[in-house]
Amino acid sequence: MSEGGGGVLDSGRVGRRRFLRGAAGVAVGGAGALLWRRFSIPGWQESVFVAKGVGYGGDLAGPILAGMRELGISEGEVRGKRILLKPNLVDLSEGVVHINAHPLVVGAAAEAFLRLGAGEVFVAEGTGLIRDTPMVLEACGLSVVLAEDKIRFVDLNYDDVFSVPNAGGWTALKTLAFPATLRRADWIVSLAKLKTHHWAGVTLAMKNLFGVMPGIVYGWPKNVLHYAGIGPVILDINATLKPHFAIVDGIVGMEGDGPINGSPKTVGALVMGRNLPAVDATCARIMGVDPRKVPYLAEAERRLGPIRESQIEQRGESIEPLRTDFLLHDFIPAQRGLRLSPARG
Amino acid sequence: MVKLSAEAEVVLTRCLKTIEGRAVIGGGSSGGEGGGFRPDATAWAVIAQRASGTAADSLYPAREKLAKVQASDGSVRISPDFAGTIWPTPLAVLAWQGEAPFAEAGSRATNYLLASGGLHRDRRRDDAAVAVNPRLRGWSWVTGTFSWVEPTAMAMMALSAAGHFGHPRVREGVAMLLDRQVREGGWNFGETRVYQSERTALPETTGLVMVALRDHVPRETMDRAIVYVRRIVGRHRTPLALGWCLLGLAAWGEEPEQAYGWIAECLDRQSSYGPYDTTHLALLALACMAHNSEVGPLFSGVRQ
Repeated sequence: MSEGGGGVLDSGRVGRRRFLRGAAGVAVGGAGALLWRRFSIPGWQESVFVAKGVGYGGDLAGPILAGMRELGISEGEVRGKRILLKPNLVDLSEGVVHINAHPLVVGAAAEAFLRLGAGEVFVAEGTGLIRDTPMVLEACGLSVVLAEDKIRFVDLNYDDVFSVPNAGGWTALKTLAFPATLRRADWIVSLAKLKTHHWAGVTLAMKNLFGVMPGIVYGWPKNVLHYAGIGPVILDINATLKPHFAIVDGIVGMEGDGPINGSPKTVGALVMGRNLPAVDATCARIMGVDPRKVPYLAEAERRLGPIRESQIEQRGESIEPLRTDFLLHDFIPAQRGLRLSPARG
Repeated sequence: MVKLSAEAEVVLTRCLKTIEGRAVIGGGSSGGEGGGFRPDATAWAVIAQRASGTAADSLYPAREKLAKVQASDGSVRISPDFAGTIWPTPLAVLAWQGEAPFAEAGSRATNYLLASGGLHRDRRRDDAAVAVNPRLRGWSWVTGTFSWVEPTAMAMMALSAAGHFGHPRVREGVAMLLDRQVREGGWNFGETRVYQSERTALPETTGLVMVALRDHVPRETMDRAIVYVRRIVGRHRTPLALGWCLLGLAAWGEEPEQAYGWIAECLDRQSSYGPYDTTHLALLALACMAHNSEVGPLFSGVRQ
């Protein structure tokens, strides 16, 4: 028998200093939002690494490791740390590579962190539409990678839960509930897919973190968050969680009616960085999308990170040769008018 | 108690032993190893243990714990800290069903379900994005949100078991579920089309709806769903998909010969995925006990 009493769902006791910093940031951030309304934060520079010519059949850990080193991630910074990889897993379609973060990219990211000396790398996800998470792992092939590489998996939908003050304040949600597993990770890595989205315009590293929110509190789908506003909630989650790193699988992305029903779009790129708005802005430009026209990215610039090209140092490959305009549908309001000028055929 | 084959007994025992080990001090069950009390896990554990023949006295502390955490409005929430998370309420109704000491708690929860539900409204011009009828009211996972398939199906099962089989809310729930059926015959979480894309069915929600609609619709209404589940059940060895598919088929008189072997394989996969949640193990236990057209009593404890 285990201890019952207060139970696993007690809230308000936040153990990790990072979350406490997030909680303390409510007042400061709120004032800051007013001061910086309509302005980006001057002088804020971030670096983003882009690897091109990458395929699922080739070496993937090498480019990821090269990118991490190029971004200044040292063995000393990672050694002994517990790394949580949060892949974008949304659907059951078997044999397709454009819907979920590819399992080989997940495995390669784990290998890269382990080669830098990570103490443990594990994978965690709380699927939004499908409650049987192992079924999704099996359908997309990630179960095979997890078994072969002996990587632990945590279903965030059924994890113990704690809540913290909403450090973003973009929605009316006073607190956000997170799975306890997040407190036990030293690094949270958003392992996203390069996709268009029919409600959010694009879904990249920031939107991928929707998937850490526990279904046990928010439902399947996480409808509480939809009612609060998808864009504002993306900002609140990122402001409160403060993820450490992002890797976007843009080897084959999705265009059109994403995040599930769109078509494959081959780009052959991996995009990574420490600052998620900067990573997402770079991804958007690669997709031929103007990040300043994606409402939640434009808003992120005020407090969470830069999205202007002048404030993002591109390492590895430059964006322009990689730019591949993703199909945007006029009948989808969230995708109208997002095209980066000039359009590419 | 249901009489089982030796093979089924072995599989069932594996599920029940783990469920028993999830009991927590103070009554009730946790969702996982070493966790604290969780109302949904507690209710599922009671439902599965009752179906397997566990005496009411042994289940009393768990039922009592559920009654203790029941809110003043009759709902049972995943935690008092998350006031809107009322989706365990129908599970509690099923766990209390037929037990005199908990009749009042069950009645309050039932009244809560009858008086509550997902948000509903008239159609709007911008509804072109989705195809479902927003006027049909079912039940939501969390208060203040839309009606979705799974909480609606569970609420209908609970209300039907509690004697409200023909209540207008239950009948509207039937209509809402039928409105959400996708083209290939099954159900997903509750969308049929978004913009120009048809949504596909999911095994677990299809099986659940087949159970919930068992006594509400004629067989021909369910034919396409049965065909869908027959086609896909053999592919799945994960707990929600397999458990609900087997229960859904059993509700309509079908029991695949390989069912117990599949459940055993599903349990074996805990070596890869870690120990399953108590709710999932309870579902698999019920799937073990499912015999032709006996699924309803497995959930309600009431033999018809």
